[in-house]
Amino acid sequence: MTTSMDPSTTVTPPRFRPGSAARRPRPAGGSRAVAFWLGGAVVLLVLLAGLLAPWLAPYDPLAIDPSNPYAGPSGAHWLGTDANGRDVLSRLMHGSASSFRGIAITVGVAGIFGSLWGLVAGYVGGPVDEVLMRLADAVISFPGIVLAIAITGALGPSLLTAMLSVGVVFAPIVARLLRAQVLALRQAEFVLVARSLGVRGWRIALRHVLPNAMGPVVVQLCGLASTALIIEAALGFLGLGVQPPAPSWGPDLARAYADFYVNPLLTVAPGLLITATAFAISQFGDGLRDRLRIG
Amino acid sequence: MTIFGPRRLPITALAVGILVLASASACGSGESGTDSSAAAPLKIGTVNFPTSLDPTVSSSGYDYPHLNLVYDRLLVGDPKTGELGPGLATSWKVADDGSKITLELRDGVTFSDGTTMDAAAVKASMDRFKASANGQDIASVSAITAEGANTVVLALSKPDSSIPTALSDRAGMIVSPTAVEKEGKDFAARPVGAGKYTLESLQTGAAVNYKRNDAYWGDKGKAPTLNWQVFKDPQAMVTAFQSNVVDVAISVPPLSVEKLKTVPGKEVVVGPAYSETMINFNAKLAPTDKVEIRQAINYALDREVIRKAASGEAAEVTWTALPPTHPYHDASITPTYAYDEAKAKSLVAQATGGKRVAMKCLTFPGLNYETSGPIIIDSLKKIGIDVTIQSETAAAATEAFWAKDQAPCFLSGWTGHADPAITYGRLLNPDSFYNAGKTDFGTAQLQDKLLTTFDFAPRKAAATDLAKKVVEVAPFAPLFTVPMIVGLSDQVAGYEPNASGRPDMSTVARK
Repeated sequence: MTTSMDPSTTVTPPRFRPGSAARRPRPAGGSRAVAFWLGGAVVLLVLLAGLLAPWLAPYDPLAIDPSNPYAGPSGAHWLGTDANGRDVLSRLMHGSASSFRGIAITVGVAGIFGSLWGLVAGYVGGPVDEVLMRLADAVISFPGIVLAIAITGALGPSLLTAMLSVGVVFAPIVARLLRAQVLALRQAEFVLVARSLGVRGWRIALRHVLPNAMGPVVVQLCGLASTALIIEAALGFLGLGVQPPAPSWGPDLARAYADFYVNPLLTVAPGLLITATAFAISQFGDGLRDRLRIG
Repeated sequence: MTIFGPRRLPITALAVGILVLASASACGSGESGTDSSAAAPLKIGTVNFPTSLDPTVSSSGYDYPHLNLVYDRLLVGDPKTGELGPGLATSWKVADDGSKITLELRDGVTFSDGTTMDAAAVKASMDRFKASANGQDIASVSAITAEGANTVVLALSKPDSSIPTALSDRAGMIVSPTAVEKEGKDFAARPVGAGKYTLESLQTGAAVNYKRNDAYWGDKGKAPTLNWQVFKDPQAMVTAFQSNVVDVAISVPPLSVEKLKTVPGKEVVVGPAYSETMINFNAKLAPTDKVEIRQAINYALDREVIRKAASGEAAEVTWTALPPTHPYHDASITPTYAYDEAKAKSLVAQATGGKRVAMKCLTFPGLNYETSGPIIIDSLKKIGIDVTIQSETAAAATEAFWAKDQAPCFLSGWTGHADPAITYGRLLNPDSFYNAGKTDFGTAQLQDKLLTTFDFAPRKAAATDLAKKVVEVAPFAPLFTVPMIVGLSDQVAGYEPNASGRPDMSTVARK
């Protein structure tokens, strides 16, 4: 007597669940936990400030007031005004949206593209793996920011093209990591069981292997997000990202730098914000790693 | 791993201490270790690397301080007044009918390669110039003839009063024909002229070093060597100047002047220049193909506000292509477009039937539009023109606007010329590179009158008539002057600002 089974419903592999009872990590140490929560709070705060800027910002970030340039911090302008009398706080709040847009493009491209890349390489293996990984070696040898400068130099300044190209350079980093995870998981019991039950390869890879391999990738993406923020600001600083007068941290820092001998204080707010946000993202990522017991 | 962990703190503190001491000693050596004698090299900071040291190829007004060191010119403008005087030519005579100009050359002058500067060399040099892209400066010269060893005759196809001035410009920079033949395409990298200095070394984009030409026929250069250091941005240059890395800073940003004046041991000289900031239009592309739009933009800009925001008190408002310090400037026709928002609005409505129009303006960094750009956008938004500014590299923006008709508007500048006919010719002639749409603005007759008038007073009147017509057709919107601001250490002496705003470093040396 034979029994027929629906392969897709009979295998229940252990899904990746951060903090699940089976793999609950030890809580991170005191200061690291504080860094994690504080980092997360700063990232959330800056993100919300950007998203809600149209309603929360005290002024229109483009509204000039030539009669009030370089004003110091006051009740009316908490962080003062720039060379054109524009409110610095309002510009920084609106600029946050542009920075996170840059991060989203880069991390999105690196995450999706890199995951598929690593999954195919790790799961299929053999010559396909060889070719994909040598390709990854080649792409990874390009410094992201240099490639972004070259591409925007050729195609014209644009946040989208610049951050897309950075995302492409970051993709092999994700691919390598994911491939290593997939190689380990490929021989896991639940995969062997699924295979023996006749579940199709692509289905095993996408539904069973990929979700269980994503933990380290999420942490890695946090690190890349921090780098992407710095690169977005750097490209803006060089005039290759968001174009003035649109508010963005990099171009605003460049403008403040040009006015350094008139009002050096103008460099402080955007400079500090870029540094603090990048640091907060990386602290959040480190905390996440601790919590997921990765590395 | 952390370098600031408690165990590593003493090591870190020690390392930081060493670095601080090393930095302090390095800074100190910059001050005390410098040879204070006149034999020491003069270190000059700039943000403009020359486009070429070959006068036939050079395309930027910022090249002149370099070109003028290497090449002597046939005629030389007086530093104060711009009035022409002898250079390599001791005298020049324009024929009564304006058909030719005869030049008598200085005897016994040699190029820095030891070859003789004579009539044959001048003819060869000028023939080469005339055949080049810059040759339009002497387009009316139909033939150049060497008569004997020291006489050169320029035959003119039509009377042209701008030729003597052109002879004090790139066209009059005499190059060694022997060196041209020897170096070929590499001449710009190994230029040879009869100037006060010779090129010693050149590091593309970073440095240009000159050595004094001790065989120079006249007053020799003061400093034995001139080391030009090219900075990527003006703030870096100002910082280097403040910390004694360079003795002289050329083209200091106007907004840094007040601060620099308070720095001990530093002097800032704000000198005149023919340069000005202007918005150039392409009269072939919409919406600036309509004269009403071009006039409306001129009316919509409050130049006082823009000048003050961009340049502080160092600059002046300009109304024509000739700034207030130019000898051919006529104050009686200014202000040409006094700020009038209502009039601007009505002109836009007249041109567009009441619809808003969009316009892309190109620019590149270093043109003082970082601060004035938002004001321009805001001013034009109020009259119904939505402007987006796209910043490119200097080369890309220049090519896109002047050569490829890729934008109707260019937030740019004009480095200016001593002769008004050259300025207007370059901006208005339909075949000129600097007429973006190659448009005929109907100014040819007035330009001809200017070219065929030789005496100063009637010539100035002709320049004024032309300026009025140019205001009417509005091919550009002049904004404010770009003064030549030079920072000087109190360890140097000999700098004199000149009318053209082209700093002459041959007279400067360390004390």
